[in-house]
Amino acid sequence: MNRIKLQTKSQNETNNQSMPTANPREASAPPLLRVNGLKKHYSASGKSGFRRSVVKAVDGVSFDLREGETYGLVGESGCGKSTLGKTILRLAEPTEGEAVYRGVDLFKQSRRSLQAYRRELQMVFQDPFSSLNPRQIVGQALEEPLAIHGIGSPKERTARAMEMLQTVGLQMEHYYRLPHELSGGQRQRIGLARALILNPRIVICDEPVSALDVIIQSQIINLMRKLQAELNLTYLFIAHDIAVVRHISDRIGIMYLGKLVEEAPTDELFANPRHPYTQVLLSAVPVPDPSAAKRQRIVLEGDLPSPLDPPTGCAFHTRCPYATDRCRSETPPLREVEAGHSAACHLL
Amino acid sequence: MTAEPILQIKELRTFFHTERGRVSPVDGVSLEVGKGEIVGIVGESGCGKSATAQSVLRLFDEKRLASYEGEIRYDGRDLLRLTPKQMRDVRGNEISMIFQDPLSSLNPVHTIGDQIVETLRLHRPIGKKEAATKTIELLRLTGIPAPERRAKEYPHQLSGGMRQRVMIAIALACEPQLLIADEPTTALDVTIQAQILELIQDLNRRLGMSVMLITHDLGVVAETCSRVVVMYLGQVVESGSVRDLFEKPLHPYTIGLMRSVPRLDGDRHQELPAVPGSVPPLHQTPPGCRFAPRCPYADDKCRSDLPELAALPGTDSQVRCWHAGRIAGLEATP
Repeated sequence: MNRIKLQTKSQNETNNQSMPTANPREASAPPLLRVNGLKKHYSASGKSGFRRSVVKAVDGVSFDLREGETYGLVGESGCGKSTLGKTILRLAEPTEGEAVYRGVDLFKQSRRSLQAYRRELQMVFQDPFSSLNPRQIVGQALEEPLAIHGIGSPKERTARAMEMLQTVGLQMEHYYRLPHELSGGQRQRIGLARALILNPRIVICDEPVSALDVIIQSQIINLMRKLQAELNLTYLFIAHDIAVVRHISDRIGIMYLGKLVEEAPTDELFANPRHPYTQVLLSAVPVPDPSAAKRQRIVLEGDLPSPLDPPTGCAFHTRCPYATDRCRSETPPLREVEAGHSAACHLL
Repeated sequence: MTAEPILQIKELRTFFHTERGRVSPVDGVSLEVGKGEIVGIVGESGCGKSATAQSVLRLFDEKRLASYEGEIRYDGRDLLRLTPKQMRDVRGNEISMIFQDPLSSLNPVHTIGDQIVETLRLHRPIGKKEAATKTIELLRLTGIPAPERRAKEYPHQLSGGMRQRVMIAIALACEPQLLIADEPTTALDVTIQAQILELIQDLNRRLGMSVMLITHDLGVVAETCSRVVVMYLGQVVESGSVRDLFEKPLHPYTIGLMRSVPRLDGDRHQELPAVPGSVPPLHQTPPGCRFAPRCPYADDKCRSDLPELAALPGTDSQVRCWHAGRIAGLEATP
C-alpha cells in the first residue's frame, strides 16, 4: 500500500514541476495532451471488390486536452470518434500525426516505453460486459492492471482493489462476484475502477454510458464528475448523445466523417452553434417537453455518406441545406470564428 | 378517455416458466390505444414494456415457455381466446410490429423486394406482378429513394435508417389498423431517428393508423405521442396525456425518470438527480409497492400494500401510488 501511495506522490510532484500552478483550465496553460494532425487510414477493397482503396476513418484531427478538463467528442456512428480515442492510446496504430503527452510524442515511443505512459492514460469502454473476462472475478480483473505494471505485492493489490470498489460506490462483497452477476451499471463501475486503479491522469471514455438506462446513466455521470474532482482527472469523453456530453464537458468537438467540423466551449457551442451540421445535430435531439413550442426541427435528407467514398470538398455538402459550388469542390479548413470557437465551413 | 379504443388490454398477465420458477414480466397491465392515436409506453429495461407488446401479438412460445391471463380486446375479439391459426391472420394483417434491430429482422439471403412480396402474397391473394408493383409503392411511401433499384438489393447493402424504412414498409404491407413499434429508433443516429419518427407520424396522420410506440426515450415520447403509459417492473404506474404527464408527473418513478434525463437547456453544472439503486430482477419482486425500495416517499404502508392504479380526481391521469394525492398537491402534507 505504502509503495503505491509513494508512487502517486512522486508522480504528483513531477506534475507540479512540469505544470504551472495557475488555474489548470485556463487556455494559457500548455495542454496535457496535444493531438496534432492525427490520421488513421485503413485499407479496404474498393466498391468493385478489386481496386484497393483507403478508408480515412480519422483524417487530420487536431485538438488540445487541458489538464483537469473534460473534452467531449460528439458525432454519429462511423464518424471516427472511437477510432480517434483508440489511436491516441495506440490500441490502433496511427497513420500520421502526433499525440504529445507532457512533451513526449506517444506515437514515437517503442512498445516498451509506451507501457510506462499507458499507466497515465487509461480507457473506459462502452460495453463493460464484453470488456470483462466472464470467468474472472471482479477482484482479479481489478488487480490485473497493477500486476501488469508490477505495482505492489499481491496483498497490497487486493487492498487497493477493495479500496477502489468503495471509491466507485460498490461494496467489498463485489470483489468475489463474476461479471454476469452484476447489473449494467455495476459493470460500468467496475470498468471505471479498473481504469482508475493505476492513478491515471487522462481517461479516454468511449461511449461509457450509452448502453445504460437513463437513471443508471445519470448515476454514472454523477460518479464520473465526483471522481474527476477528487482525483484531478482529465477526460476525453466520446459519445453520440449530445445532451449527455453537455452535462459533463467543458469543451466540445463535433466530428463528421473523420474530421472535426466545430469546436467550442460547451455553453458557447449550445448558445451559438456555427457549423450547419452542429445546428442539425442539436435540432434533431428530441426534447422531453411537450409544452415547448414545436421546434423547427431540421430533418436531414439522406444518410451519412460511406467513408469508403467520401464526398469531395466539404464532406457535409451532400446533406447540407446551404451547400454551394465552392463547398462541393474545396475542403474548408477548421478556423477560429471567435476566441476559442472554431468551425470548418466556407459560409462563416 | 379518448377516441374509441382500437386495442383494450385488461389485467393482462404474462407468465414465463423459468428454471427459477414462474415469473410475470407483465403483471396486471391495463391500457388502451385509441383509433388514430400514438400511445407511448416508457420505462427502463426490464420493466415489461416489450413483453407487453409481444404479448399483444402472442409472440411467446405458448407450448413450453409462456402463458397469458386477462383480456386483450381488439376489434370486438379477445386475442387471447383465438386459435393459433386465427392469430396468424391478425398478425401482419391487422396488427403489425417493427423491432429495434432491423438487420436481425430481415433475411440476409433474400432481396428486400422479395421479402416484401412474400409478406404481401402470404396475406393477400394477389399475383407476383401486382405484388411487385405494390412493393415499389410501399418503398416509395416510406421515403426510400430509387425504390426500383433498392428492391433488388440485400439488407447488408442498406444503411440502418434504410433498413428500418424497409421494416416499416413490410409492416404496412397489409394496411394494418395498429402498428406496434418496439424501440424503432434506438439503434439509429439522432439525425436518422428524426427522419424515422417523422415518417411514423406522417403515416399515422395520412393513413389514420394507430401506433403503440415503445421507447425508453422520454424525448421521443414528448415529440411523437399524444398519450403515455409509464411502466415499472411489469406494472403500469402512471398513464395520462403527454401534456399532463410531462407538466405534472405524479408517480415518484415518473418524476425520477424525468429528472434524470440530461437536458439541452438549464443548469448543466448541477448534479443530475438520480434515483438510487436499479430495477430488481423479476424473481426478487419486492412486496407492497414495487418502487418502494427506491422511492423517497416510501413509508411502512408502501412497503406492505400494493396500491391500485387509480384515476386521480380532476385529472385524466391514472396513478399507482399511495401518495399521489399529496404529490399532486390535493392533500396537505402531514
